[in-house]
Amino acid sequence: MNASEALERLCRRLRASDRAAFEEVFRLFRDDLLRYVYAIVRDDGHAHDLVQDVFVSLWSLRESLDPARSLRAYLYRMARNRAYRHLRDARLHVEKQPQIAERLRPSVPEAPGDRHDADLLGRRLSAWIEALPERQREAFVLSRFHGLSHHDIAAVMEISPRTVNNHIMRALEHLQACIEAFEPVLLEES
Amino acid sequence: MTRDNHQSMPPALWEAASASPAQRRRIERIWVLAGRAAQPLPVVPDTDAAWAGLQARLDTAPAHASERPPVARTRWFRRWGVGVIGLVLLLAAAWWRQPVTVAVPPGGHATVTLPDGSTVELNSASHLRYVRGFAAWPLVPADARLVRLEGEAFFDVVPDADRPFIVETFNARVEVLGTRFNVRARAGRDAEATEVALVSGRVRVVRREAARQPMVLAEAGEVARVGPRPAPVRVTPLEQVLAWRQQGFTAIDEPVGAILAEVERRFALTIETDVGIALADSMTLFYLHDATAEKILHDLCLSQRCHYRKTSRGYVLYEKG
Repeated sequence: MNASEALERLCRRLRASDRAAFEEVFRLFRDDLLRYVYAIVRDDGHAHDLVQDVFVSLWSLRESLDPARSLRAYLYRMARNRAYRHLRDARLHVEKQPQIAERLRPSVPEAPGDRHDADLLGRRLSAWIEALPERQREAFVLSRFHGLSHHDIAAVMEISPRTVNNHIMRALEHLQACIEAFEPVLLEES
Repeated sequence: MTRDNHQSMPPALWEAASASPAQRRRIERIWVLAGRAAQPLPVVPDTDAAWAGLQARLDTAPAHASERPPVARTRWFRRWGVGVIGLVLLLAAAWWRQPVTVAVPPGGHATVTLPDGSTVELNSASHLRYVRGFAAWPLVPADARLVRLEGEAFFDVVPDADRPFIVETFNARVEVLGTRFNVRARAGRDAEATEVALVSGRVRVVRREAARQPMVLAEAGEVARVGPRPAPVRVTPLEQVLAWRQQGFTAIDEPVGAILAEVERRFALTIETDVGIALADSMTLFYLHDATAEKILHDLCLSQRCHYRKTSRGYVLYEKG
């Protein structure tokens, strides 16, 4: 049984109001969704609340789930909608309260560690990914760090799988240029 | 940092990229390197605590009020939707049964395409009637393809092995599968007959009140006549039967009265006749194409030894002398 069949089975059980299946889904997706939402909203508390909301909503809509469609895409899409809605609402506040703007500004996390070079590269990569055009970054992050298929990403972003592929290819090309300028040795085949 | 770093490159990426193997390896290298970028997890309650919190929320609010509408709509639908759909179906069925009439006035000429794709070319002063249920639709049972004809028409029927095509006239029934044929059904005071001429294919002609003895036409040019008296199948040159389609005119061994009635219908005029004209005499007239009323009357008078004169509404025929 492959992963998508397993998800389909979970989805069916969820439709039948199976709490155990719901818990499985929750444990399976919570961390990924937290990372995803946090990357958009940049606030721990709000990321947690938004992800909890996603699952409350999933439970209340369980009867209308379609097992033939990707549960993963459905969850990411709900998370994305909520995160961007939150961001839009927050921006309206920012105009009145400038101090929140500081919090919303993307920050590259400090990663302590002894492998200094590797962490430097990691930080640089995070910054470069952060600097990608928005749609490219979104498609790339979902593909690279969340393991969504092109189809799922297409459903989440509401674009065609072909466009998803183009975004990811562009992002990779851009990163290649960045790495080349930073440390060409990294790209040499070993 | 996380399992994400081991996410493999989706195969769709190669398939779309028309890259050389060297470029592919480069791109894959970038893919692997990019995994070092951190995807930080926010500082949040741990999973068990979050699950407990979530369960508490689900138990206090079994379903969000804002997320109820789908259920409400289902109830509304059960109560009213069924009725509305029933009504719509009923209206559709009524419309489906509604007959369609194509009426060609005297002097006219028309071609009609039926819902099944068959075409009918109608001569002057002819009526064709059929129901919309004629067309075959998925899931909707379709009746036999039945049309009623008064007058003359040439049929080009699309083959459909499951549903015969039936032409009904006042006294005859013509049953066909796929074929081309001419039907002439004039029920007037001068002649009462349905004539069916076959162009191609095979048709069965039956008298409506005596369906036991069908006449089968299988050869081009065969003509079946259903009139007051039984008549055998005869063979006629097709160009004579079909001359009307090119504005020609044909009367083979027909009474003068019937010929004049046909001229009236064809050219939308009125022909008056003096008492001396022998309307029961038979005669033959044939124009392959582009006949005019004047030409026909001229030739008719030549053989019947009479004269004709134009009136405001048509012509008047009178005796010589």
